[in-house]
Amino acid sequence: MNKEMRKHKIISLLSWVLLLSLFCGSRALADGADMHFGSEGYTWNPGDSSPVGIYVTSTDGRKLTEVDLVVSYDPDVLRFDSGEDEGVTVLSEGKFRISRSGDLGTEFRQLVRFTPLLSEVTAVTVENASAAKGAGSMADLGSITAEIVILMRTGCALEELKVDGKTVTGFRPEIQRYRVQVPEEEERAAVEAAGGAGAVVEISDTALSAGENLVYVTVANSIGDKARYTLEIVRDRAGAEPEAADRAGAEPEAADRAGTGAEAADRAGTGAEVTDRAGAEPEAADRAGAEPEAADRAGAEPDKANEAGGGTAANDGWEAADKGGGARKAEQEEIGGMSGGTDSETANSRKEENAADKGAGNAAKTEVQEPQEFLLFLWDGLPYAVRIFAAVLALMILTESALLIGHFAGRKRVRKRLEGKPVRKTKKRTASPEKKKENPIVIKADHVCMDFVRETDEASSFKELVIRTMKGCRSRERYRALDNISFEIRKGDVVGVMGTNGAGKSTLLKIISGALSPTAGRMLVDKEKVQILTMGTGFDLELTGKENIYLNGAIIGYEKEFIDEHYEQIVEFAELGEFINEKVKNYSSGMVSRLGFAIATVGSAAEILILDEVLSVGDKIFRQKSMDRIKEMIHGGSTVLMVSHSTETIRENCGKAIWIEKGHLITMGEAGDICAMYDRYDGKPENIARRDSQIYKGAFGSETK
Amino acid sequence: MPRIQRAGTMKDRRRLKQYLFVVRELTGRELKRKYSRSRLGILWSVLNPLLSMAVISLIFSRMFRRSIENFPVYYLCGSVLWTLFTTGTNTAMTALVDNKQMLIKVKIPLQVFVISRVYTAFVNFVYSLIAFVPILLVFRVRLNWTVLFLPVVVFFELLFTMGFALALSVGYAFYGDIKHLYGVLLTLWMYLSAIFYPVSSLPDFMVTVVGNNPVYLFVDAMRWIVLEGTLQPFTAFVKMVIWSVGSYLAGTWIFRRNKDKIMQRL
Repeated sequence: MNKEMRKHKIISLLSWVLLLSLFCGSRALADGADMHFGSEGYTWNPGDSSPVGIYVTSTDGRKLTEVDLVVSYDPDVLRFDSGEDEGVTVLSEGKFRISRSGDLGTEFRQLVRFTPLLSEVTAVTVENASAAKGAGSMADLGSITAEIVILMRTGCALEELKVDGKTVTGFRPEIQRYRVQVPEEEERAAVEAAGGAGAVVEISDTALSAGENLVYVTVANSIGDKARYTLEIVRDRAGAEPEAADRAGAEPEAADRAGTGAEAADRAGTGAEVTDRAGAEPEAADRAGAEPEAADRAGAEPDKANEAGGGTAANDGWEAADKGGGARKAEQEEIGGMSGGTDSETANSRKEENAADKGAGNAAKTEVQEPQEFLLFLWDGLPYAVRIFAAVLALMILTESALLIGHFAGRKRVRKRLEGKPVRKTKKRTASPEKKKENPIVIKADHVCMDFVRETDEASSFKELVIRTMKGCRSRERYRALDNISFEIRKGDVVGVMGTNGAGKSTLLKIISGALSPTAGRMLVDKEKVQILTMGTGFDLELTGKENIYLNGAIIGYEKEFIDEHYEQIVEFAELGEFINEKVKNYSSGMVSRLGFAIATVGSAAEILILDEVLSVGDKIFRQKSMDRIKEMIHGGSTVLMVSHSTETIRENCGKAIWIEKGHLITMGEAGDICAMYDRYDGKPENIARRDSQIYKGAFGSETK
Repeated sequence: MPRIQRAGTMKDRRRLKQYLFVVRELTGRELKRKYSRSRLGILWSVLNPLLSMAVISLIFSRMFRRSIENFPVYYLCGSVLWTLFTTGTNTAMTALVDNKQMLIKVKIPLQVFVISRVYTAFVNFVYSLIAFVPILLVFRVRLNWTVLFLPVVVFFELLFTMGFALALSVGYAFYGDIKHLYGVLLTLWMYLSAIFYPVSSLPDFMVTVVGNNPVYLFVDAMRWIVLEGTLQPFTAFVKMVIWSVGSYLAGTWIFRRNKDKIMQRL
């Protein structure tokens, strides 16, 4: 057993070490804040001032106190409109900084506006972002990029795009970015482009250097709207991969943009296609698969919304998330409609609606927050350590109260014992003049009655119970197992308890052992000193003898050290030898009862020993041995109660006897006399009374019934 | 209160020690019995959640991959806490009846049998946490320091389970039917606990129901801790505490009231 336990301990220890190392090996601390755009991507109309929301969210509920970040954009494509806003500093063309401090709440939001100048697929990037909470240091938030698709006005599309006389592979008017390979020796690309009627095409410098070159083709329609096509012309050996890899590493967004060029085209492309994409999210998920970072962001988003609930109840958070999700979907559908439609006005109005939707979503969120605002304020306002401390404090209080409840139970027992003691003392004092050299009373039954409430044909199933209760005919019967029993047993007595089957002997013993409490009257006895040994010993058949010794010993109140100390003695007395490590189910019935007896009588633990029909099962040798042990115990000051049907056993072993019949105490007195009386018993209590009442008035001073 | 101060005496300490000894012995027995015929023994406590996770993930992870980021971990969080509750209550329910013989002899309050069964479930739970180690490694879930709060969640779940177990063990002593009835109830309960599906997929009304379901509160708290690295919302925490303390007090009260009747009945 010990070996096994040790093995378990080692396993669990190892796994905890593993778990802890996992914990320690992780990032020093999650940054506790997260940055994202209001939307993964934006679709705008050229010339319309459009907002981009940058969000910094605290993921652990602590309030942000400082946010600092740099936003960069392509100044050729976008004009920055929010240069005058609070906390915004323009650093250079294409770059500005947002720096805010103070109480920023758990979610910080900054709206900046851009006006698209021409149609292209571009991006806005937030870099060098950091945030701080409380007195903590700044946490680095990394960088994020949002793709911006600027829709094309009528008349801005190219109808033809050629490099070196060949149409660019995959050319479609709505796709604005291409990648072209040219021979290594080519120093100037021949780019030809043609727009629709009235369109003016402008091509930037086409001189090529080694590696990647960007050539812009700008198309303006008759009213001055512009679209820009980008050609990435690679003048390189096809196999020069290391460099390409390098580039991808250095400029991830560009690579992303290039990689998803086709998709961007999709987005800007025909309405049908885009709507499809918006509707069928698995595809989006696929896209996400290609772009792990974005995928993470997307995946995490519903939960972010949850958090945005600022620690409201979970379900509230879910609700908010639902709404957020709905809004997003709506937005995507919007995008589909917008890109499909050529009418910019309707698109605009839709966008407004969309914004309104979003606003409603936000409003809903804040509304949800309000009822718990006070509690939230309390909770959020606390530093984390304090929160943990509060939780631990609560825990301790709870444990304390649990212990207290446990103690009340204990107290009661102690009080009862204390009550018992004075009685004993006074009795002794009053009794001693009459009967000299009497031992103290250890068991005192004081008008003990025990009623069992029995339902005449009992409802043993729920259905029956319900039916009966409804009918109102739960006929109960009070069955009196013990009626007004009084007696006293003194220290060192060996008392036989006799009676026919069902007389109430076992009930009486259970009351003495404290397992049952009497319905009326009192049983004064120190229950902790009582050991009761019954036929069913309560061994677990699947366990070995040794394991059962410990289990049973624990149950009957032995301390571990006590069992350790007396273990050998128990095994020896039970004569189990090697069998001690066998499962008890393989034991003979004699072995089982020997083991039970050995455990119950070991040491001098049992001051009051109750044997319920135990001796009658063993063989003669065991009985002799048991009796020797019992005598030893009596010599050591123990008191023994013994139940048996056999007057033989009682006569041999007991000094006194109690006779119970049908719940009544018939008589008690010297064992020999009671046994003689019991042998004459014919099953009719009334006869005893008549015949024997003269002889036995009761040696204990109790009345004879 | 003067009573508390008196509680620190030798006798009480010895009684507490004895109490713990009995709990340990009973728990040791339960564990030995549970795995007495199997070769892998207690390893099953680790394997079981892993295997069921594999099966459930196979079936559902595609279905819910849009709304659940990391389905295996999501499910595992739910299943280990759910198992703790169900095995705890299910086994503790029969604790009194099973140990009939010992009830007469025991020198400490009868609750010990119920407690040891719940404690056995807890030991199993601790082993099943080992299952998290490979899973967290495989799915690259990084644990935050909030994981230190996990014991608090488990403590409250144990408290809740204990309350239920005490009440059920009393009920079972009187009416054996409760076992069957409870089985059905558990099925319903499991579906209301969002063990393997996302709550967001439910209609509003059901969200309210699930959100107030104590078992879900524990599960959700663990998910916040493991998957998000944050603590659950404060209101959820309050609900969790109220449920568990309420359940424990109710359970103890029921048990206390019926203790004598149980002894008569058995």
